[in-house]
Amino acid sequence: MARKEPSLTTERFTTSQLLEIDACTRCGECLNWCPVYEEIQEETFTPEGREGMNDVQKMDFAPKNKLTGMREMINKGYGLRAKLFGPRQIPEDDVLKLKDEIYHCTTCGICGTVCEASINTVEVWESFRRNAVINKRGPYGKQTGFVDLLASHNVFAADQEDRLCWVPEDVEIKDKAEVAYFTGCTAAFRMQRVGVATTRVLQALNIPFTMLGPEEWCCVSVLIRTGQLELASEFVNHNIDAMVKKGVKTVIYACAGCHRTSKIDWPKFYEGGDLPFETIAISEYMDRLLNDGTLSESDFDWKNPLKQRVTFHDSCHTGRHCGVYDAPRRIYDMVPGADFVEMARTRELQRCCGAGGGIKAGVSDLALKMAQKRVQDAELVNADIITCTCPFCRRNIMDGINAMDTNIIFKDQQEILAEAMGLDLTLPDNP
Amino acid sequence: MAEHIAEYYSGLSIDNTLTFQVALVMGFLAVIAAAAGILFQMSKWGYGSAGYGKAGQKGSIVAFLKLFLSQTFDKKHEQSVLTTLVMDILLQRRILKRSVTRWVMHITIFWGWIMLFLFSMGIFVVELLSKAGIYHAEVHPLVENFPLIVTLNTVFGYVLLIGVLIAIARRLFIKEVRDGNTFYDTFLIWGLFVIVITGFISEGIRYNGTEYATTLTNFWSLGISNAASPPAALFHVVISLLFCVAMIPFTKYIHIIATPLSILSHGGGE
Repeated sequence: MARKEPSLTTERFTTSQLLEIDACTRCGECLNWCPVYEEIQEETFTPEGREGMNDVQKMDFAPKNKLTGMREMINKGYGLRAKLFGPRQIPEDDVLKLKDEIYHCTTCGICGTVCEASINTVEVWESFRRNAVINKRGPYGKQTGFVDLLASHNVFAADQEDRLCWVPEDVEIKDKAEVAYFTGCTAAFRMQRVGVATTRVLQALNIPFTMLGPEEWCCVSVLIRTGQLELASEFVNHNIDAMVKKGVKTVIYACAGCHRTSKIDWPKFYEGGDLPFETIAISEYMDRLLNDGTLSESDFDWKNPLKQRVTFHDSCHTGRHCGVYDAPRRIYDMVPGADFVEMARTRELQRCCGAGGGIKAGVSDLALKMAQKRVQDAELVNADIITCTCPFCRRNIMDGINAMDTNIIFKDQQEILAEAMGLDLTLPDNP
Repeated sequence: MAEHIAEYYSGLSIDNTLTFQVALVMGFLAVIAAAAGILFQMSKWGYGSAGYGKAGQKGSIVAFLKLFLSQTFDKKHEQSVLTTLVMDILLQRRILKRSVTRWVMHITIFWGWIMLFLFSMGIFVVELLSKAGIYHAEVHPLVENFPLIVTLNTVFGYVLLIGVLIAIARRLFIKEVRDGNTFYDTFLIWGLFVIVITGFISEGIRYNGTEYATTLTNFWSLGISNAASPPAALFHVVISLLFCVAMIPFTKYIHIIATPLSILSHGGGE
């Protein structure tokens, strides 16, 4: 009789990840930091179908238990007993339960940052998710809609011809340039004020730049985070080829999600190997120009001192994933009148706003609760403004603010710069 | 009595050669089981792919080792392999950065275990050499020829005991740790507890009523005559070999191997 396949195969896992799954010491440090587990433990959010969980059951949503669950399932398929007598079958409901737990994660990566065994948890979760999709167990909830939405080459199923409809008429977008501003779907179609601010600031600083316009396709962050990779290669290669055609050497991002995906994920799909250009956060780019003397602080030509207390939310993708912490802070430090204050949890130990990892689409209630928690962090330091370098964090944190009784407002870094520089952020009519 | 003591090695008697032979056979079996188990685990890790999106490697140990070495010595790492080895594995600074209590717990268990393992292996080799007539000892028990090792053995025994007691106390008094505890964790901690306690007891029994007896060894002897030393020592040796050697690849102890490998392959760092 032919041996059965393991219930959870090792498909999509790398050898390093299989090693890492065994490396977890179950120290429990991740429990102190995981923002999803925090909401579940405090019962501000209960996953669907898991009502009435006791404290032990709640821990199934903590990273260490997810790793233990994976380890046990993989050992049932590939352990000593499985080698001798064939893989032990795991009830499908148990695998689906683990799948749901692993999809309840924003892939913020703080578990990996604090992990004593140095486990790259985000990559492990994403490999599991890909495995789940291949085996028709994933993704989760409304995340299934991403692939259909992307038929229009953006995640909102909008008309690609409208990708630049918000760009002010007096902003010059070069046909070809060494610098390209990759807008991202959220800034292009939903958070257009961020796009307006970014293009205005670049123009005011005399930085010639190009944009891909309709040829800018989704960066595919949503697909990679949720394990749906079928379209990834096509989209990545299209974007890279389009950049090359425009002679781009540096791509700058005012979206943390696009930045992370381009920097870390695109090389995995690019047929040419290493990317033919550098990918860099706009704050890093400005900081570099200030450091090498291309720009000076006077070039910002400040007109409106801020006169407000500002606190900065490091987005997971620019911060923990790409390691950019100081550059955005140096930019805020320049803004006249800004009373900059740090929240209790910043930099590599920052608290995730809840938008990433497919959670905003798949488990929106959880995303909202996490956003509110982050706004509360800002309230604790009496901030007037919570700011960030990511339109997707912006959207979620603004949802959190709207659901709360608070006077805090949200402004993207580029909005703050543009306002302080006296630039017009009016959106063109009917964008 | 002195005659009787002279017949002892590290608690196992020459007289009752069966106990030494049992320990010898168990020792080799344990090492073989551990080695086979580690190779088996490497084969399991070798089912993964060599990189993102690539095909699995069908359980190849060579493929695993090749990838592990290339990652460990990757020039992109911010610190040298030696720094990772010392700072992140031997001194465990990643744990220290997060929790001093947990660092004390883990570093005491880690170094207690390592040193007791090394001393035990060392004395075992000396005993084998003595058996073979290559090494001639003036003093018996044989281990007493190495007073520094005897002292350090006791010290690291207590170091290990402190770590194990902290681990047990955390599970008794911290609700979150208790709630998160599994059979997997219990097996490891209580296994170590039984080993370290039986180690002290077998040593206490060995010295009971002899010139080497101290207040402390008398306490641990539980008043049992040193005539019971061989079976007591045998029990300790057998469970130590089982828990601390043979079962490493098949239980939570695998992290003794997997965690340092994971840290090395990622280049360590805080």
